[in-house]
Parts: sequence; structure tokens; C-alpha cells
Amino acid sequence: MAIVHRTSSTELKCGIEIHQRLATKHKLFCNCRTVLDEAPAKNTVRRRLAAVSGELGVLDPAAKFEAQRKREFAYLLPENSACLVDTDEEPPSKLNPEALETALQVAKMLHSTVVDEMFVMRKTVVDGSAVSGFQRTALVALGGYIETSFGKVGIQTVCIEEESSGIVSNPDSKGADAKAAGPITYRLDRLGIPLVEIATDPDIKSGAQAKEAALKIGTMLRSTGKVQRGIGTIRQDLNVSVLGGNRVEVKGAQELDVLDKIVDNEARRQRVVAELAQKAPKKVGATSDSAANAVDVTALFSKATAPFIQKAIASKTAGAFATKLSGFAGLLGIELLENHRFGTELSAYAKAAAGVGGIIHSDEDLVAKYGITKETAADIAKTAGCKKEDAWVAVVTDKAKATRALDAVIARANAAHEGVVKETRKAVGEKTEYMRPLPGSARMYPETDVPPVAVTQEMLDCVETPKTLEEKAGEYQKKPFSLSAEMAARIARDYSEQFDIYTQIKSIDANFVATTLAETLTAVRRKGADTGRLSQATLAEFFELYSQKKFTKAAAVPIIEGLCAGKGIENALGSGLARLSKKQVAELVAKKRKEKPGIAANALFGEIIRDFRLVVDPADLSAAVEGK
Amino acid sequence: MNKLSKLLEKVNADELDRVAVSTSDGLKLEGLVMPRIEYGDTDCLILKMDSGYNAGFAADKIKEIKVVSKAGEKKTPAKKPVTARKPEDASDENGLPKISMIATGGTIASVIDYATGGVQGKLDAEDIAAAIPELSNRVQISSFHSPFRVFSEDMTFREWQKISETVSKELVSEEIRGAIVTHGTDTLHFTAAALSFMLSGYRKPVAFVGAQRSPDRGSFDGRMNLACAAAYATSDIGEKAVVMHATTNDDHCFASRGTKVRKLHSSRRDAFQPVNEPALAKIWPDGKMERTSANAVAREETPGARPLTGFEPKVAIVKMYPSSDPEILDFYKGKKYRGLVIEGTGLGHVSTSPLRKEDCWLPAIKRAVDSGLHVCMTTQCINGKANPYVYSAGRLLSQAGVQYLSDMLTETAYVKLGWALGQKKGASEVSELMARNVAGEYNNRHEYY
Repeated sequence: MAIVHRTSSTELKCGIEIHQRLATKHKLFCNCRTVLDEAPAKNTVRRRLAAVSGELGVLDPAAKFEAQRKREFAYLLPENSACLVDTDEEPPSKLNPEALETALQVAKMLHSTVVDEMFVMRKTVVDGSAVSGFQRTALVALGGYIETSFGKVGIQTVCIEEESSGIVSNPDSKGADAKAAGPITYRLDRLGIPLVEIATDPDIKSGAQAKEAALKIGTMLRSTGKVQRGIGTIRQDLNVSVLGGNRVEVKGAQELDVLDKIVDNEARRQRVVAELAQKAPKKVGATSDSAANAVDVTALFSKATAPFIQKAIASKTAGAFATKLSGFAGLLGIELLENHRFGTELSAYAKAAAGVGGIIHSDEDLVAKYGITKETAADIAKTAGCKKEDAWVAVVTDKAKATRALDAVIARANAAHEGVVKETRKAVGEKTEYMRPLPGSARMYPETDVPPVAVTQEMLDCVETPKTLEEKAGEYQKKPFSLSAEMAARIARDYSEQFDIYTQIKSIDANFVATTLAETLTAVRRKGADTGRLSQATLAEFFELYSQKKFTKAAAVPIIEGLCAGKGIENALGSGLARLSKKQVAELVAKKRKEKPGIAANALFGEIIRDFRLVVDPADLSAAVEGK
Repeated sequence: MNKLSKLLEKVNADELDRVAVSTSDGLKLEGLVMPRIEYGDTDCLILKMDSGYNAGFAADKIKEIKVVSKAGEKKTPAKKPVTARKPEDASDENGLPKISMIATGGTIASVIDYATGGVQGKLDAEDIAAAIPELSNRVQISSFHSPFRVFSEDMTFREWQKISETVSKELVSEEIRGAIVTHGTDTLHFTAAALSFMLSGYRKPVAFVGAQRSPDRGSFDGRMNLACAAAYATSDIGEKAVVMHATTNDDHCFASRGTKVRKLHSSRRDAFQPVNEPALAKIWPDGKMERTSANAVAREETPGARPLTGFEPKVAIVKMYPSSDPEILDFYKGKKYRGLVIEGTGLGHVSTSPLRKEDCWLPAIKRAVDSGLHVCMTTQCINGKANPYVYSAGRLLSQAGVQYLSDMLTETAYVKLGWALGQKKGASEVSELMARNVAGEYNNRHEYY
């Protein structure tokens, strides 16, 4: 990579927020189940949201921003997992005690101090993902820490909150006109599933440490056995800042694998933005709701050869509009990250504010990218009123959107001299992109429909902390299990509940159970078998029969395939998969020796295994060959 | 005085002051002192952290507390979350139709209140209007009135009289197209019915509007209700109507005749539905309106109209149910009640031929009627008519002097009976008035829908 890595470990400050869905029977404030429903929704509810003031009478900037977009929302209701509480038509029930217990357990594992009285709050969310316009959340515990190989990371808070609803479609993201595009659609099965939110202190000093901390907390959460698993059930938000800069929140980092890269790239981006501040003028332009900033340059852009520009202008509904950024020449082209210039940043602001596809600016290779000749570019600059030291930015869209988009661009450019701007960004691959202003604390106010919950010493005493996955893995390496370190870790992480059940079978081979759970079942599933048909009872019988030497290790795969196809285990053994007795194996050996007198022991072993692999146990065969 | 109060008093910490606290658990906290709302452990200090969360910390565990800063002007809750649009701001030249707005309290006027707990009706008419920018684009609210602020359940006939007087003064002005009355939802339909009778001489649209979700949330339903109410108040319909969500969607409202509407759900947005007739109109928040009833009274100027606000409060609703004791009627008789609305079963029945003769209501009804009580019958089925002729029970009751009110809603019947008796008329005139269709409270033709 061309970018010089200038990380000095002390200047980066990062905190992580981990959101983990809990595997409770019911949602946090109603009696809907907590499974994501595949069933088509029977009903749809359509709503609009307005920005509201917080408890202290201040309108939250993030809330205002979303409401300005005046969108309609459609909510799909799967029958069994959404009710009147989810549709904001009925007051919430009391806080789910099962979820609270898990949250207290997590707090204990993180060495956090549980508050004496919990208050459910409403956190304003007006992107539509909560039907009510707020997410219910409560602070459970404060303080605590986890250990990482880079040092301790403090825990700030442990909260319990409602999951948002899952987005189905957002026509806005395709850049279409908000009204014509139709509603943003969400499904309500996910809304209200309990989440535990753990926020660390900004003690993390590198991407690698961030990744380790996230992994550690994730592992700890799974060890409770009360969290949901699978894609989307855990996600990380990041707070990243560099020395002298502002806090930037990065949402939606789902891939733990690239968490380190996201953190390091974001830190790099912030450093270059801070450097750029030295060169940026104090005042770039004036924002206004009037159309004054959007100079019509449609005639000039109609000379551009890029098909999207030609098509848009030909449609007559769109034109090209440009604005001047005073003293900004050269700055838009400054590369913050590979293929990510300051112009790319401004483009994200324009997209977010007006839903435009992007911006075109004077620091780009206009000939190559848009087929805008140097002469035309000069004319655009002139029309926009640019002098030599000025830059211009243009958008191809209708006038109203252009005004909004260019206003957002000017506002961001005006703030360039201040360095890193407080904002919420979203993780896109290994980089981040502007999403919306950073929400302030004004977005919280009390949920008056739910009484506060006093956390008593008795409740805390009842909470047991489970063994950590590390502790479990350690146990699995010791007798009677004697798993390899690698297998022990895998079983502890993903299969410990089942493993603990099946290894209770008398004289069972723990390694066989481990291999079956961690490898055989996966392999069989990949071949297309429906392993979902295997009940706990079926698998218990399978292991029971194995421990009774009714079949060989090699026959495990075809037997499981048979079980997946709905065959009974006796049936599977009857159709030629039953293990041969020691006597039968000895007979096979005797027969082979008769056919091929003087056959070497190795060849004898090999030929019999080749023909009878599934029913002959290699140990039995060795014994027979050696004449024992 | 509990431990917490002593702690706070010692350091002179008041509500909303910023304090630093250290606890025996080893926590060091900073935040604003929040007042307690209704429930919970009163010996826990509620702190609002910088993160916005409120959390409680037991006074027992507080080792140290000190005030970091007193609540400054910035920190006190804004008295009004929105700046009101004053009537004088609206220029007369903008050509927008003029309406009046009367706010009476309820969820639609609620914000969180820390002094008394929970949600309190605090906003006045101007606050409410200012929060709905759509209103100022469509209508000019030329006068605001906030005669009192009470929740629905605290309304009495006195408030109905006060609202009637306020509205009637507005409606006489030729400039005023109509009025909007904002109100709590629980008894909104009683007030709508009361004004339907008290202002039956007026032929201008009056919209009754409430909200099932308070304005402090993004999903506030009153916003669309008010936008639709503004369209109704400037329409050519001359009736009092409840204008609220037609469905759970933020799509359109129903304008339902004030005498033929009822709250049918305790919490849903579309709780108010017309009963025994279709809605007068469907209204969309952009002002579009579709008439859905052929018999809506048209608006007209009524220069000579006067409010008829007389009301006799000695009227009660009595619900009949299995094993209900007829002696309850003697209680009302003894308390000098003048009218009763019996909400009977099915077509309007009470027990007339029970296995045990003490359970029979006829004697008690006869005693009540003989003593001069005006006894009416409605159906507790909500939908459909009360009819005395189908079963012998009905015929017996009718003969005993019970007046059957057909498809009039029980709540409307109660309001109408109090109003009719309040007009200081004789018994036969009251009967005649109860039978007359004054404000669309009867619908004689039930269509299939």
C-alpha cells in the first residue's frame, strides 16, 4: 500500500461498543418470541416520524437530520414475532427478567458495578428502525475491565436494550427521489429482541487490540450460553479519535476479521484530515436554503460524454448544478486513504443530505472520468465564479436536491479547517463513510410506561457466572476428555453444551464425539444432508451404539447420512454397516491368507481395509493380522 | 426525611444541579440530580449521566457528594419545547382560511413532568399548533384558547359548558371557518356528543382531536390528526366530528360524527371509529378529503344561534349484567336522580322473568318511573339498535315506561339525557326531545358494510 503507516501507539484512542442479541424466550418488553421469522408478513403498517425534543428540551442533531428527510416507513409484521407493542400501539410490558438475569451475569463477568436502580430510557431513533421513534434502553452496570495482551481495557457501561427492526429495503440508497421512491421497509420480528450492550473505555490503542478486545468480550458472552449465534447476532460499533481530534463513531462493523483494519484506517483518515485543516480556509462559502449556491451548469455538462450525465440531462428532470468552494483548490484531491480523497468525503455528505449519487469536483481527472474537456471545465469554473485558488463541486440531479446536496458540501468544507469533525460513520469494507451527525445525550428521556427496576443484593447473589470458554477449553484438554488444544477450543466455543451431554455416555470416546460434532456433521451437511433432522435423542443413540462397538469410526459418515435421510439407526446398521466382530475379522484374515499364501502383513492389512473399510475396525484387524 | 434528602440538603444540591458522587462500590460518577417520577426506591439518588442514561444509586452507598455546578439557565428544562406561532404573526393577506383552536389538555398536550410524575398535560393551544408546521401552511389560526388543562378522565359537564361557550363565541364570527378542540382521548366522545347538543344550532365544522401517543415521541399520532382536523375545520361540513386515525397507518383520518363515535381500543391510534354509520369523511394530512356519508349537514352561517349549555348532572348509566341487583335503581331514586340510561343486554333487555323473583328488574323500574325518573334503554352491544318489540322483556319494559333509544350510543344517550333534562322542560317534552334526531345521534337506516 502506498500510504505510509504513521501510527504511533499513544495517539490513537479507541473504544468498542458490542451489541449482542440474547437467546431469551420472549422479547424485552412483550411476549413475542425472539426468533427471526422466515414466514412472509401478513400485515403491513405504514408510519411517519417527527423529530422531538429530548428531556432537557434540546432537539438532538442526529434526530433532526433524519426527520428532515421526511420519509415514510413500512413495517412488515410476521405473525408470531410482532405484536401491538412492536407496532407502537400498546404500552410495553415489564422488563423481561430472563434478559435482566443474563445482563447481570455479564456485568459480573466484566467486574462491573451494578446500579441500584435501573431506569428504562427512550433513546431517540428516527431512521425508522424503531416504530415508536425510540429504542428502549437501560443502564445496568458501570466500570469493570477485561484483560488483553496489550493491557487492561476498562469497561464503561453495560446496558440492556431493544434490538432495532431489520431493514428490508431502502429506496433512498439508490438515490431516487424520496417521495416517488416509496417507503423504507422494515420487518418487525427483530424489533425488541433483548440486546446486551457493552461499551469499553477508550483504552484501546491499536486495531489489533480492538480486535482482541472484541473477540474476548464475544467469547465471554457466548460462554453464558444465553446469547444468540449466527450472522448479525453480534455487532461492534467503534469510537475512534486521534490526538487533538474529535470522537468519531463507526457503526456496523460486523466482520471481526477486519476490525483491526477499520480502526487503523479510520485513525489514518483522521490524521490526514487533521493535516488538511492546516491548509483549509476558514470560510469556504455560505450555506443557504435558497438556490443561490446551486449555479445551473446544465448547458456545460451536456457536453460531457459520460453516459450517466447524458442520460440524466436528457431525461429533463435533472440538470447539473455547481457551487464554488473558496480557497479550496487542490484540497479535494488530497488522498486520505487509498482511493479515498477529501472529495470522496464531501460526496458522502451530499449523498446523506440529498440522496444524490455523488459529486463531481474540480480536482478530479474530469476528462477520463466524465469526458469533460479542459475547456468545458474552465467554463464551469467561470460560471461558478471560481478564481484560481477556488474549487468547484457539481451534482447532477434536480434543483431542489442539488441545493440540499451542495449546502451539505459547503457546510462540511467550512468545517475543514477545524480538523476531524464529530460524526457518525459507517463501516464499509475496511474503510468508513459519513452517515450522520453524532447524536448527543439529548436523545435520551425516561420511558414513563415502564416502572424502574430496583436491583437487590438477593438478585445479584442468585446470578452465577459461568465458566469462561478458556476455562472450559482447559478442562477439555485434560482427562477424561484429552482433546487437542485446537479441538478443545473449538468445542468450548461452539459445541460445549452438546459435548457435555454426549460425553456422559459410558466409556464413550470423547475425541469421537468432538470430531463428530465439529467436523463430521459439518462435512455431511456440506454434502447436502439435512442435519437439522438429527434430534438430541438420535445423536445420543448414535453415540451410545458407537460406545458399544456396534459400528466403526469410518461408518459414522454413511450412518449419519442415513439418519439425516430419515432412516432409523438400526436400519442403517442392518444394511451392511454393522461392525464385524473380532471373530469375523479373524475369519477374513484367514480367508485372505488362504487365497494368497505368504502375503505380507502390510499388504494383507491394506487389502482387507480396502474392501471392508466401513465395517472393520483397524485395531481389530491389526490384532488379527498379528495373530493375537 | 430520608437519607437521600439529608445528603442533598447537606451539600445544598437541588434538582438538575450537576454533582460528583463517589460510592462505597468504588464508582466515581458525575451527573445531574434528577427528580423521581412516581415509582421506585425513594432512597436512591437518580443521576442523569453525560451519556443520557438515568440510573439510581443507593443513598447508603454514597460516600461523598458535592455540587459541581448549579443548574444554570441552560440546564433547566425548556418551559416550552417549541416557539409558538403567534396569531399576529399570521398576516391577513396570506388568504388562508381562519380557524380557532381550543386546547383542553390530554395526551396531545402532554410532556414529561418531573414534579408530579409521568406525563402531564402542559402544552397550550399555541404550543400544540407550533409543533405542527403543516397547520400554518394550510390554515391561519386566528385565535387560541386554553380555558383549562385537564386529562379526559377529569372532565365534567362544567368543562363541556365552558368549551361550548368558548367555541360558540368563535363560531359566530363570519371570518371563522371552524374550530379545532384538542382533548384527551378517554372521554373525547362524551365531549364531542355534548358539544353536538349544546351547539346544535350552529352549522360550522368543529373537529375534536386527541392523540394516543404523546408529542414527546417521534411517533406522535396527533400530528396527522391535527393536520386532518385543520382540513375538516375549513370544510363545507357543518357538524361536530372526531378527527382521528382511521387505521393504524399514518395515512388518513376519519371524521366521525360527534354523536356516533366511540373509543374502541385502549391504546391503538385508530381507537375512534364511527358506530352504526359510516364516517362523515376520510381526510388525508395533505388536506385531501373524501365524503363517505351522504347525510352530512352542510355548513352555513347561523347568526341567531345560541349555545344551549344547560345540563342536569343527576343522570347515570346503569349496566345490566347477569346477577346484577335491580335495587341499584332505588339507590338512584333515593339520591334524587332525574334520569337513567340503562345499558341493557342484546336488543335492550334487563331481567324480567327470572327464576328467582328478587332478580326481576321490572318492579324497581316501575318505582323509578313512578317517582319521575326518566329511564332510557340502550344496548351494551355497542353496534346495532335497541328494540323493545322482539322479545317480551322489551315489551314489558316499554310498557313500564322505559324509552328505547334505538341505535344511540350509551355515552351519547347519557349526554343527551343530561342535556335534555338541563333544558328545564317537562317530562313529555324530554321524551319528545330524546326521540328527536337533534345532532345525528340516530341513524335509522343501517347499511350493510
